[in-house]
Amino acid sequence: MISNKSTFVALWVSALFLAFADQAGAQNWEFEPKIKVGAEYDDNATLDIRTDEEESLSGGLLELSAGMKYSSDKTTFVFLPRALIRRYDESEFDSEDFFIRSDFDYTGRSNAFGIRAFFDEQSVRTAERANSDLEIEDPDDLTDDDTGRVVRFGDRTKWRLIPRWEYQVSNVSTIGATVDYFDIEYDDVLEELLDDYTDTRINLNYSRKFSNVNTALLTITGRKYESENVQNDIDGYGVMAGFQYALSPKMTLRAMAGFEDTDQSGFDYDPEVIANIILTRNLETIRLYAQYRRSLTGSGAGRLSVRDSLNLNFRRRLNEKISAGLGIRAYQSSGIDGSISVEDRDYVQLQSSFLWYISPGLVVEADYRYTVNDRGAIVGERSNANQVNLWFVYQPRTTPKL
Amino acid sequence: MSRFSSLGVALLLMVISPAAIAQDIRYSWFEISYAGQDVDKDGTFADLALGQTVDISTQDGNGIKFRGSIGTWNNLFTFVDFSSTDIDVDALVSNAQGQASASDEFDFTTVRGGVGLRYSINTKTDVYGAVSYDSTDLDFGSFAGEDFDTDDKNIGASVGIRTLVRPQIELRASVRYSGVGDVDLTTGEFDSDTLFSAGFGYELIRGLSITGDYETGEFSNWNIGFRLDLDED
Repeated sequence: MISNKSTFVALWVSALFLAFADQAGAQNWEFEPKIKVGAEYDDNATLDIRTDEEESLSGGLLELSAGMKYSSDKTTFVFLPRALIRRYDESEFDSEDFFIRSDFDYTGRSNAFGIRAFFDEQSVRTAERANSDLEIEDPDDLTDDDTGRVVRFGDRTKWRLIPRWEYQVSNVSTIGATVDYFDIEYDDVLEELLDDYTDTRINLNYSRKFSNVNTALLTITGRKYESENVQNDIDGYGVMAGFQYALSPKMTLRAMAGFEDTDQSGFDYDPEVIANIILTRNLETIRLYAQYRRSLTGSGAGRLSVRDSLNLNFRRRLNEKISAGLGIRAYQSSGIDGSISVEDRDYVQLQSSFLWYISPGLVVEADYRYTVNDRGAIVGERSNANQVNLWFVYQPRTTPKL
Repeated sequence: MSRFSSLGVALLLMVISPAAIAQDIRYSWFEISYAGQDVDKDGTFADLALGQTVDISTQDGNGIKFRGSIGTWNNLFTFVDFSSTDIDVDALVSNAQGQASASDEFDFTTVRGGVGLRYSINTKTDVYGAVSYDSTDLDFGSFAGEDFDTDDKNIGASVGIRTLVRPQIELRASVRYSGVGDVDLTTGEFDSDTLFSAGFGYELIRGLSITGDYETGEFSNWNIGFRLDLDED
């Protein structure tokens, strides 16, 4: 596991060097370096429930990233390292966050396999707070592993690996398998509040096309959740069935529902209904991603919880110079079997953003986020925060997006 | 069904509705606004065991509002409305030691979701009716151990008119009934109310409008923000 920041920084610098290197003879490679300089203001940085103890925070942000993509007839490889440096007027909130997104894909005649890797090393203050990122081009990146415990000090290190394999049985039928592995570690200072854990899922998938627009889907899943300070692991088994339907050439609906049963020594849980409904709409100037998901989620709280979540991303290019977007991350989290736990909460984040393309490579980005974290069941109180970010983005080789 | 699953299903139903045919008055949009909220109420919490009384007086505050609408399919549209505001509250704590005053804020949240039906009077003017499921939540802190928290859900209904007085300018007005439009802070019981509203939209560029609304009632409110159209036409 890469837990050493200097190792990561070396990796990142190497990647950045590659990104700016001469591309002659590298016809299969694409490089997309991006430099963002910004400012942030948050009127309740730790989502404190007491209005008289809210800590407002302002500071500067620097984000460096260098996306690399290799593609050939059968193989695609994407590697995106990103570093985000935060400096605030109160230095105890300063942080250096590092992220890697990597995806390898091989597509053969009837077999396809790949592996995706996610690495995050991030301040707990932001890592445990769901973020309505408007750049959700990858639904797998939309995780639900946060606890809302936004303690200001300490880091969270997260590895997520998703190897997958798919085999085309016939012209209409496909079988496959996916593993989804999470490994989360917290700084020692957070031991009392957040527990290290691993969460592993194995999904067996079957799909059958009934027409050019309609495909039936079936997934059987098994999972194991292991938390550092919990004596007995939690095992889970579930099944989901549904369909994917092309409402139009540019709009797709995917709906699956089923149940998941969990088993932990000493506890008797009933199966929980789970569901995942996703709608995507990609027009020339509009991108829409909407999702309703009911799932059993693992987190640093040391237990699983039932989460009803709603994710919405909408972005529209208004003209050549301006685009605007709205985003929602909202969820309601409660204990399995309706039991009351300290993790019970309602969370809502609304985001609005504007992008001004001064030139194709230079963008000004402004966004506003309103966050509510309501722990009514146990704490009886809720907190809210207003955050404003202003970014100047230099992306000399990036194709302008919505 | 939980609040989020209800909202989720409503929102997804909104979005899977077929794209609206080109029309002057739009029913497919998302909107985010700065909101002001008036909650002018008084309440008393008496703790006989402690021999203590807490009197509160709530006032006004501000926050954020998100609204979304999708339509139309056979002239039907569906919508959601979420508002979250921080409201000022003054308190007077009375007990054997005397009286003490204090001030704080509390959280006022409303959520509505429902379906509506529009009828075009002409190409520039629509009237509509809508039914909704309304939720109102007042979440207080505590000055001296009292608990004024209360919430409830009930049905709502509205009728309104929307008209384009210029190609870029829309004016609108509506009357709305809500089963959770009023509250008695002493008992925590909700009551119904009828609210009247007026608003405008000004399209800055195709797809982006500035909007503003004022609604008067027991929970009077206003908002100003921007609206993004969901259709490209």
